[in-house]
Amino acid sequence: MAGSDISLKTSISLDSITKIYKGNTVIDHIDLDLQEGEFLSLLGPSGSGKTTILRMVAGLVTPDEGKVILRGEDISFTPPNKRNMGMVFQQYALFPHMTIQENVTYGLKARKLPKAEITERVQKYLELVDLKHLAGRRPRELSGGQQQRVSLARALAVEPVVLLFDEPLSNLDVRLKEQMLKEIRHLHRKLGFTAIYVTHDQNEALYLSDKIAVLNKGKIEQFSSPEEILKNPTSAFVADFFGYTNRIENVVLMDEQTAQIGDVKIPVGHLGIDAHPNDQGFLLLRLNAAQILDLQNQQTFMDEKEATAIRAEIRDSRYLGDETELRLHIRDGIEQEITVKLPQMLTPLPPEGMQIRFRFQAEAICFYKGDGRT
Amino acid sequence: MNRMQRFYTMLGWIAVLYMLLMFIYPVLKVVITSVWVNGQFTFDNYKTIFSTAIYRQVLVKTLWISIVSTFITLIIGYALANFIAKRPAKKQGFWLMIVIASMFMSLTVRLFGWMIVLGEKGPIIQLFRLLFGEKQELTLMFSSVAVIIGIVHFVLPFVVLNIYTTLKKIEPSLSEASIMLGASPMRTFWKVIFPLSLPGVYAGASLAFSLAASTFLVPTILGGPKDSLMSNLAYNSTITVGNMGLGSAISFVLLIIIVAVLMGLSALERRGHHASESR
Repeated sequence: MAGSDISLKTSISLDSITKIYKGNTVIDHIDLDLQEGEFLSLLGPSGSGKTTILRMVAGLVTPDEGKVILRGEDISFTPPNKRNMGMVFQQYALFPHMTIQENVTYGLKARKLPKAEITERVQKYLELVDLKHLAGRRPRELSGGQQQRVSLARALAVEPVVLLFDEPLSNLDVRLKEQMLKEIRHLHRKLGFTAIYVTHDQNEALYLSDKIAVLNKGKIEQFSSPEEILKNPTSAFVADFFGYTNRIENVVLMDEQTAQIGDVKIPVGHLGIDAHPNDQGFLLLRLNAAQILDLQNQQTFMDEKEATAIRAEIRDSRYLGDETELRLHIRDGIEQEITVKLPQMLTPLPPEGMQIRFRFQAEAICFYKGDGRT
Repeated sequence: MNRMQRFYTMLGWIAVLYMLLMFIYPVLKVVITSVWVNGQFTFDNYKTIFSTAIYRQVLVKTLWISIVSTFITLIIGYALANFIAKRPAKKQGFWLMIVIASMFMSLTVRLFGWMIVLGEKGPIIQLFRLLFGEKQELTLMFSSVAVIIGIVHFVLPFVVLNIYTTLKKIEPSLSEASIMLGASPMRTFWKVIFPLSLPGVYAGASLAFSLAASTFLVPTILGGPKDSLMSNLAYNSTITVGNMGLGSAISFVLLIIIVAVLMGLSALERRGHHASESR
């Protein structure tokens, strides 16, 4: 009974699904498995195919090849209204001619549930998103955040096997976005639904997900946990998405922990796929890749770390919230600009032209083979 | 107010002036002519209309022909508008052109076309004879049926355009939301799409009814002697008989009926609107 065991745990599987629009392969043989209760984010820039995948799961788009399997059953050709999924749209998509209550009731009536159960469920889910007091209002009388909560309640009320989110927060301002993120996470923990969440915002994906699939041109670049993706981005594309914003070209990998450019040795924390010593490649660095040694007269550090310290000049400095961002011009064997972020507010702000020394932090530096311009 | 705004305000007033001269004045003139007979104020013309059997019959006939044609046009027009709104975006303009194309030709010419189609030698009657034999009698021309067909043909583009515009304004994600909530396409149409398209239906109905009720050409060309409508009656009284007062009175009664129906329709729409705006 091993087979049925697996089907109990696996909620949804994509088996080599492919979509071709006018000769362009927009989704290229994608495989994905999602366990019951897991929260998966499909992350990628526009045009990467994330929404198309979601719509194929929903049944709004039919795959040209491959299968969508829900709890062991091939649903590739099941019409969307028979799939028992819920969907939260970017534009909320609330029915403007119905009250909030009628909106939430809609899916339950379509399922012809008994009246008592409908009433009970509508109460439950409106309460869950804290909108019971607005049940009699029309969608247009509500704020964007409230509308999206209604949309969430409406999708949850049908108790779907999978809940699909199509960039639900991209129309909200930053503060509302944070609130909604908390709310979605809270609801997911409380109700334990299985979810697929489409977004182009890596922070949303990191905040919500158990698994993240990073998409690029219709293919999955990396599919793993948020932690693994942050720590070990397998490709430059993924690294770029997750805050590895500095780039140092034309380096050679010496051994598995060191890269060299000119006379400078740079410690490397992670290697991209297929990277071996003596490979030519480039480095991607996070904003925390540099530890500043002698800012604010920390002379003692300087002496200790003399051997690995690198000299640079500050080109620009500014505050980012309660952090400080510095643009450094390295001139110590190489000429290179990098941007680094310090986790504290430096007062006063270091002046332009100030000479400093810093040390590279290996865990924030990745080496990738080639020139990354494929 | 800056110069631009003043310019637009002035244009607006010119339009108002034009309306006053070209619409309000003639209507007032009609009203006065209808109640001012031989230098005396009198309601005789109106009494004649409502007490003479033939006028009452024409009044009723005008009403039912307009209502029936409006309904038929709404059904065909809705189906057509829905069909066009669902075509790929690039092709919709083409389909709309086809619907509107008939309007490029004079209505008179188009109605002569219908005379051929509906006539004794026309394809419909030929086919009917082929199917049911020579002995079966069927006449289409010079009947109420021909008049209704003509009116439907005449007002259809207006209705299609109105409904199409509201259908296009409905977010596509709404029907997807409905489908995703488990509703069938049928349910989605009746619960979401149709209610949201009602403004276009009302606007189309208003236009269709007022065009149908006031048509003069269609019954003249396609109708028989019994199919005269209010406009024809007004024409006959004024031009053929020369009774300006009676002709004016008939015109005014027709105008009142149309205005009443339009007000009724807009009240209906407002009620629907209110239902969707407030609790």
